[in-house]
Amino acid sequence: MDKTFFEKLHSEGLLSDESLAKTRAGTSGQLISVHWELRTVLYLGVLLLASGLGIVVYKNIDTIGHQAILIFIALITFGGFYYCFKNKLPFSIKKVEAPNSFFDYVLLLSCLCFLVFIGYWQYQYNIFGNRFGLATFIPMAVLFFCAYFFDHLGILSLSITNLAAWLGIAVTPLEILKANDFNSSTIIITGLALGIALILVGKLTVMCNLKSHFAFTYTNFGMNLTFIACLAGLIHFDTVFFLWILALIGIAVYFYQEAMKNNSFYFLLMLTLYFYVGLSYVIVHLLFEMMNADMGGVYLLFFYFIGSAIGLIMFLIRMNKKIKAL
Amino acid sequence: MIAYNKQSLDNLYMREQLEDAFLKNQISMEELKKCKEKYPVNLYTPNVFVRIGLFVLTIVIVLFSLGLIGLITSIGGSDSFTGLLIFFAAIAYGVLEFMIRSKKHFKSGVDDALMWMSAIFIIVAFNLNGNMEALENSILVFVIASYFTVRFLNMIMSAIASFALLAVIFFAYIKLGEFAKATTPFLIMAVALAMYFLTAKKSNQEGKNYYESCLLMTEIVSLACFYIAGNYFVVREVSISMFNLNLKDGESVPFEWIFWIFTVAVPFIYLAKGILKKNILLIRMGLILIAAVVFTVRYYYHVLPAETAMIIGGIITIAIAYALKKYLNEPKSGFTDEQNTEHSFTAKQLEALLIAQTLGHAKIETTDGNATEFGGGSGGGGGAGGEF
Repeated sequence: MDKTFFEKLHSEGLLSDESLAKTRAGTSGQLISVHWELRTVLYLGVLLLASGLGIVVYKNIDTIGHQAILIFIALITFGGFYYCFKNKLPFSIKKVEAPNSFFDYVLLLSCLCFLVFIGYWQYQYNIFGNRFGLATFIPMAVLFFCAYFFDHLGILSLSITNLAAWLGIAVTPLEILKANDFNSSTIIITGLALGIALILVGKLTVMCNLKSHFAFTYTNFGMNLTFIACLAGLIHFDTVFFLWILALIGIAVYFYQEAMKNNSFYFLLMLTLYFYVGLSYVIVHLLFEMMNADMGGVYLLFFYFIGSAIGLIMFLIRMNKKIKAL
Repeated sequence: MIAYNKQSLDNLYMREQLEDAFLKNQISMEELKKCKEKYPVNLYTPNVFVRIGLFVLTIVIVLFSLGLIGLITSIGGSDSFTGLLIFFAAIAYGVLEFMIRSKKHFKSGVDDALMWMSAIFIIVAFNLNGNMEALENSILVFVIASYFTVRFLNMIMSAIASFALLAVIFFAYIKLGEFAKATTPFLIMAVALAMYFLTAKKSNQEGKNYYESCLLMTEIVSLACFYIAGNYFVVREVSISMFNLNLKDGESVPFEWIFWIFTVAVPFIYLAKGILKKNILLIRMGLILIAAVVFTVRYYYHVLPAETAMIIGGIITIAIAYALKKYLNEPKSGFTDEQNTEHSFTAKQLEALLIAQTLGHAKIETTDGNATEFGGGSGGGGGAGGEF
């Protein structure tokens, strides 16, 4: 757009001749990047194809005509994996770039078709018998292997969702609250354990420098799961709820330190909001127990929310300054 | 007109351009620093996550204050509540102006929240008595959203204002009778097109423009509404539900072929124009609306079973994307497949989350083989929920 002020800055002696020339060259003949548009289209194609194949197999599972479809799926799977093995850059414990931007999607498609294929096998021939755990464990293991071997963040998230599903929990962003039955003690405890485990793995990933760019994915899933499990525990186990408050405080403090260490505004926001929800639940609970829900309690409640929100705003503003200064 | 200090906005604009130039290695760190010192930006704009937090918390404060005052004054009737809401809208607005003037808040979350609260309070206050017509409401929304767009440079307000303007025209025009109802789609399309050309011309002008992002939103809304107004599905369903057109299944609106042409052709025209004019917005709109074409056609003509259509569509999509990627291996005709490096970390993380969300169900369905939950990302099959 407007580049005249580069000249103004130049005349004020703030920009060198060389820089001015560069900015001038930069503005003419700029290329438009369609990188992410193409990626999105490719991704949609993979999504459509894999979902379509999955549906076809399940719909025709009892008829004879499905053999051809299965062969097609097997071909995609093996062809895709073959392509990936042939083209991948040498394995390293550090980040490995994909050899080309098509690679990621071939791998994704192969993995998805592999899942469809295994699912069919289990249905038709019961290869894993009735040990349903095994039927989800093996694809999960393959997914984790692919994520590390080919260095693919998307497949890593798929593996984590599958790991959680293997344990009986949904962790995808839109289902984490909807699909889980947080009235069940088992789910809460499992969720907490899995969340902490994921956080630890994220930590180890950085410490051992093993694919350290995977750390954020682990930590993010882990943090959300842990906080939600904690809040669910706080509400569900009301006899020992102070234990859950301690857990909530512990996790919040941990992530506060992490946020400070990594200059992460995202973790800071999440821990603040989760902690606020927990704290507010406890306060509301206590007020209603003490006041027997009379008007005084309600007034106090309103004052609490107004006051606490003002306090948190000041906290966030101060933190913003602090992290920026780091 | 603009609530913010113009000098600060200018400096902010300059800083953005300089940072962009720095990322492209056109100027040095040293120079960037010197320029920033010479032209300081004294607006308070925290990090985006902090902004979200401040936004949520400000809304908590305003809502609970409203509740508290409502309780204390024990206002019950809707008339007095209307008064209270207008009073609160005024207070929120006053605080908003104060925060901007003396605390220099600019897109801080606090100003966003106050702006939305005062706008929503006024609209709710007017609607409490329940005798507002659609046309009156559209006018009200248009006036409020336009004011907030002009004064606070808010993108979403600008989108709402553009949409409300079209709604005003729509509701005013259909009052004119049967002929008007039949020609509504064409009028809306004409207005949307005019809006697009006016805003596009304005936003393509050289020079700094405080309203650049607002104009962009208006462009998006007018392009979208131009398509929606001519879309066969929308025209048919609106005619049935709003104009009491008695259509049975299989019957169609008069001049259906015109709307079918619009439905199918417009996205491709956007795409072609975008490629020719190197306009990324038109390209994106075209791509998104092609999906709308598919859904509209499939809604009336079930040519193929869904899964077969998905497989064929998937293969075609992959093939096209592959061919384009190959074609753009080297930058050609002004386009490139290189990514802008600035946002790639966030974009990658978001993509990974998206994959987990849309394909998270892609796990083994051992017990019931319920295939319908398999794809599409509509949610549902995500939780194994103690199944194992």
